[in-house]
Amino acid sequence: MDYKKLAITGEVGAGKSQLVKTLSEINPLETEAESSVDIGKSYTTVGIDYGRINLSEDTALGLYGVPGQARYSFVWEIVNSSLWGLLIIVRYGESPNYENLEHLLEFFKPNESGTSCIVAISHCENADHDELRALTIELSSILEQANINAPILKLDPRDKESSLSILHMFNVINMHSKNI
Amino acid sequence: MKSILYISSAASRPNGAALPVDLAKIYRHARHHNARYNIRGILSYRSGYYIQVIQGDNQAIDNLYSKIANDNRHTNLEMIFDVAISEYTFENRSMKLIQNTKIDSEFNQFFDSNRHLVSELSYEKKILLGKFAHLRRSDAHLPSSYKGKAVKLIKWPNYTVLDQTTTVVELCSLIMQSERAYEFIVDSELYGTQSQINAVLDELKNQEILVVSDAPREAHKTPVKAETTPVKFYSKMKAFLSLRRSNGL
Repeated sequence: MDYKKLAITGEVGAGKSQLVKTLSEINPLETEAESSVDIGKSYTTVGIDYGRINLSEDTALGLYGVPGQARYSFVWEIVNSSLWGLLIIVRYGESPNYENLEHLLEFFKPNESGTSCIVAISHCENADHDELRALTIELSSILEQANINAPILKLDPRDKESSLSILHMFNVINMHSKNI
Repeated sequence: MKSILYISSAASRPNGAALPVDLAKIYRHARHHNARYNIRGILSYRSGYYIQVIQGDNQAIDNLYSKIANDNRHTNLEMIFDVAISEYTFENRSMKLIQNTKIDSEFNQFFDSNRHLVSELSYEKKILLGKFAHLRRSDAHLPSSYKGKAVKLIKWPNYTVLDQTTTVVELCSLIMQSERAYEFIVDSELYGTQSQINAVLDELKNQEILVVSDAPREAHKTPVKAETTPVKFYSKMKAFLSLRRSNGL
């Protein structure tokens, strides 16, 4: 079985669980609990979201939604093998958590391991053009500081076309880096 | 009315990196604040430095500059220009974020009207200003055509300001793989119309990730790289995506 993993990470409410739900061909495994603080929704993921796409009889992509906070780095260990790509979702309208991002990039080291990396901005359907550009400048700077070459995309994790475009981008990057 | 241009350094993170922390938040606040006080201006960031121009009523500008000077998200504030003006230079927008001031026509127009002040600046201020503006008029960016040129991408782009379509993604992938002659890209008819291609290349240049050079003869003839053996994960993913799209998802 040719099985690879897509690690999907980001802050609470970024859209990780939704993306797994949109893409998965199986009913995704969700680990949720009632939120104890106001995060804009009633439930939040407390473990990993798991989904799967079967590409053929013997080829599959596992979708792993993992928390983006550094205190959950023990969860990152679970996905850090046979990694097809690392997706970082950042929510428009919120400042990136620089500390968490730095820990994440330090842990996964996509620049050293050759893992393809994409940064996607969610909740930006009605974004102000210049404010969105300002956010991408922040993100580009973080990536440049970490010596990571990653595209930045818009993402609506509720939308199938938008979600598939992420897979398309990973495939293009992997082809370019010969990580196929 | 007056116009102030200053340059500052981004504050360093605990790991020593100078990053534009909260730039999006700063921009959002500036836009709302400036609209209330009829202030216009531009804001840009480059390699650890900010540049900002603010224009408006003298008192409003002085008050704002005082607040900006006390913001701990930047350091080493250097006032470059503080000049009287009779009208706004920038369009009716309370704050414009500029990716690349060196090729922004509005900023260049503002800078050209104050170019005579550059000679009065200290050497250190000229160095700072040179990060954001062409100090010599002869160095100023001229509109250029891609005809007869080859293009190569050196980094994956920020797609949020491009059309995030399959065509644009494939074009960027093509010129990321290797340098391509402009005519090859246009003549292939795979990557949109000539004006669409030009728009993409212009934005990639704006992001300073596109290298444009004189096209060697070989660049015209290099074929698109053939795909590898079909049993690889890449090919299966490609087939999967094609099937989903053709089935209307």
